[in-house]
Amino acid sequence: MKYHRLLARQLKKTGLVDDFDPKMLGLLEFVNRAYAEFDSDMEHMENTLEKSSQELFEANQQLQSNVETVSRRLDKVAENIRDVIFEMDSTGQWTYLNTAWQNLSGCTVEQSLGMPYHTCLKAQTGEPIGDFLGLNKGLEPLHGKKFEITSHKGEHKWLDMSIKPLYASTGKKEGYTGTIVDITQLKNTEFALIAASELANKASKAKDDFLSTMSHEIRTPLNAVIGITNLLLIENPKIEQLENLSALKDSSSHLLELVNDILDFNKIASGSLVIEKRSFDLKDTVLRLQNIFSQRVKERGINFNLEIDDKLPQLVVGDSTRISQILTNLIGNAIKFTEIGAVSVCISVKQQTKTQCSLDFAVKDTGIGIRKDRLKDIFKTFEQADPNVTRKYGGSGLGLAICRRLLELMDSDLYVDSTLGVGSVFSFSLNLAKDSMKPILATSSEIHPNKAEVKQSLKGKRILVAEDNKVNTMVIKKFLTKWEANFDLAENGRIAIQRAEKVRYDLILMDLQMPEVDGFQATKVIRESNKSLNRNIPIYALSASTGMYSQKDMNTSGMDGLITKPFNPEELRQTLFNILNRDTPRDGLGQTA
Amino acid sequence: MDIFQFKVTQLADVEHLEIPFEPNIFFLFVSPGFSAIDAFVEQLALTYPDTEIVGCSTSGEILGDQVLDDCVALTAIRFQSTTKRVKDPALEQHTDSHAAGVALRKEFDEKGLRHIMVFSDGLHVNGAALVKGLNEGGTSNPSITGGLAGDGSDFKRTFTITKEGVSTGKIVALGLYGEQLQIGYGSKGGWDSFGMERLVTKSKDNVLYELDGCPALELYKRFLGDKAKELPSSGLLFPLSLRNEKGQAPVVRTILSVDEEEQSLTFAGDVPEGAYVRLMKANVDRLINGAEQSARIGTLEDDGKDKLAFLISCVGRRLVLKQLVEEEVEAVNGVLGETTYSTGFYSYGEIAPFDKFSPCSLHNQTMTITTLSE
Repeated sequence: MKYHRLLARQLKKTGLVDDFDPKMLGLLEFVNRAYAEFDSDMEHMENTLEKSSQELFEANQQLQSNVETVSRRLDKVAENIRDVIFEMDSTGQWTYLNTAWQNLSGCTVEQSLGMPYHTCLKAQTGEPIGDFLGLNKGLEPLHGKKFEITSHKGEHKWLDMSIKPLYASTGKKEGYTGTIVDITQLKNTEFALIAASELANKASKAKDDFLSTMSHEIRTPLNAVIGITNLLLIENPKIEQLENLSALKDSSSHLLELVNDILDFNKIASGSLVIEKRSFDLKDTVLRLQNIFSQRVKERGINFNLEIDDKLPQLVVGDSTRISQILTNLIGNAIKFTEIGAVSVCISVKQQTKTQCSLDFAVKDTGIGIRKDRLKDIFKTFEQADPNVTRKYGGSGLGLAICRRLLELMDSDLYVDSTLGVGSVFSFSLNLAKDSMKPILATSSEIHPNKAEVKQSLKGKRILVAEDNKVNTMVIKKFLTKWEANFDLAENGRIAIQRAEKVRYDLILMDLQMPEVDGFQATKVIRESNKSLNRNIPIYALSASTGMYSQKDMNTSGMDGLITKPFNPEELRQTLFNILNRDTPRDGLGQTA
Repeated sequence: MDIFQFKVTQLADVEHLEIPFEPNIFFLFVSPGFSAIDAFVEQLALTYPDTEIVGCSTSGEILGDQVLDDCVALTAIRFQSTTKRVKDPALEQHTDSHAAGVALRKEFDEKGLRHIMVFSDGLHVNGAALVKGLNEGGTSNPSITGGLAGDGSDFKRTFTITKEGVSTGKIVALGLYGEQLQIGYGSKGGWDSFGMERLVTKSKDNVLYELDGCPALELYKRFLGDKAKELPSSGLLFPLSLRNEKGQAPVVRTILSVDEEEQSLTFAGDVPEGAYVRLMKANVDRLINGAEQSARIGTLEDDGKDKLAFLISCVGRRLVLKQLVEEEVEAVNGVLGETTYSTGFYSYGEIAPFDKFSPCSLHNQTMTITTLSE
């Protein structure tokens, strides 16, 4: 039996010879096999180790070669890019720069590495630019910076440096990386664009101003035309003249409506319309509207119904002028398009808390209605449901668009539901704050006794009219004479003040735009002067400019309200009567149409 | 449960079995070198006509603390209340191993089915697919354990046994029913992966052609060095650790056969393309620790009653452990305790769930333990 050489050596060393008993032989056999197997295992392990090492070596070489290829490729990209790519340490010293840096700064990459980042850069003044990132002050550059330099070639340049901190795997900040991009061209374009946009804004503003002024200027002569037409109408014209005068009145009214709408629309479009928040009596406002429209409704032979929820709070906070304007527009439309039946205005309280109320408004008519497929178009500017409508019923086509924009400004919207030949419902909701203050006013029914049938008399009432426009003065003079009022005229605010010092009036009507002293100033003086005999009497503004003056302007000057020109003779008389027959001398009330 | 064990070394032993009870089942784990197996099984079936016989060929029989060769490790048991059913379909009746698994499972009445013990031909089967089929074929949730038959480390002919006789290309499955039956199982390896992670670039089912674009057989031969001559058995020294996705627990796969012409390797389970593999290595201590850990998981509470444990260990472990192979069996028996009788074999693949919460799957290079008690 030939044993493993180690076992054979061991047997020889210990002097043991071949002559073993069988048990010993068995043991030797096991030991011999174990030695052989151990050798085999060892060889196996060595082979495994060698092959593994070889593989790792090859893998490592492959990786190295890959790294070289990738880094060569990256270098090529970095060297050929126009923008500067950089890395700097946390103190702001360059640790890497591509060749674009040399083109930008005039310093070579070799010179710059290890230098502070701002060394080669000069400010516009030619002075060194300094540590504009504030790294030495311990500032952390978060997003980078746009800055101006004078390049080494003396050109003025805008640069955009974007920068990002670099962190080690331990979380410690190692420095920064980023890019510097020449944005001179971009900046120049930006400046040019800003200049162009300013020009455009100026042009647009000039256009708006022109439109406003034009509309305003048109209104003054228009008021005169309407006023004189009204005068002629009340001076018993002949039958053949009556028709012409009616046509003249309708056309001029339509023209005025157009001008007013354009003014309003322009104001909304330019964003200069501010929604006011003031306490007012909504029920009273609606009753006034009813009063205003009563004449027209009567003329058309239709009914006007007012349904106001009993739960409606007495005082709410909002813009009464604009709410009136919306309702006026909707009611006006409803009347215009209704030949038989009724126009109804419904105001209901959807819900209310202690401080807030949510109100639903609806203006219903039994008029011509609108085709379903045209419903979506009626809110567009200068659109009406049917082109024929304009011819037959008039209107600018701006009214509903204005209503909708106004409601949008009040966080609401306008809805319409209509059946052709049956009628239409225009509705909107408003969330208004409630005012818990007790109203100082007398109740509206007292202000507006619904006695449309009875001619109210102004006989003997002393009224001062301050108005500079001759035609307007003539018109109002004729009206007041006809109504037997006892009146004085003032050509401007100064004269009005003088008169008010001498005579005690029941009412002063004050034009707003007058030479020397305007309406606001005059009112203020009359209210505040010790000499004045008229500190507490009603003073109402006369103005063609609806919406041009805010409630605030009225109140600061001490105006009680506003009467818009041109006057409808009947409405004016009614209004004057109401003012003069009010219990309380001053009410601080909103405007009267 | 009554248990009787006997080491059969010759045909005549069948006449000297003095079993003190009428057994329900014989478990026979047979060395491929025991040439009288056909006659033995025939005689045993004649002598005990009402007793089921299940078993297979091995790469080493386990009986008690011993690891044997050239004999039959016989275990006879009688259940108190557990009932059993034996099925042994041929693999070739089905399109593939998965279909065979599904069909085999469907042959069992699912009602009350607690456990299925499976012994399959070790060479003509895709063990992973078979196990998948066994899981999918049924509606209930029995535990499934077992192993693939071995034949030393020759990879030439393995067989399974029923009372009908000895056959190749078959699967033997024993279904166990009954509330009283308690089952424990555990399966642990002890191998570590080493070296580069390699991508499976070409494979089909359980046949691997290329790793990282190179012929897989060539790589194996390079690492085996001189031992390449002993393929496929020497392939057992290099099991593959295979993972499909990052984060997934890797499975171990060993070689069943090689094809020089195709330069391919056939594994006991699927090796899908796109999977990553690493070679594995082991040492004696780690393997013994692995076996012990497996026993701790698979042991049942000691209630003083006799229990039977099946120890199915991979032939690859035997090649590493060599003269120390009994150490892992002793380590297992030390954990299982004195009331547990053990038998089993060295196999070409082990079948068991990873843990209590996973479905059963095919393993390689593990010590897989199934413990039964009533």
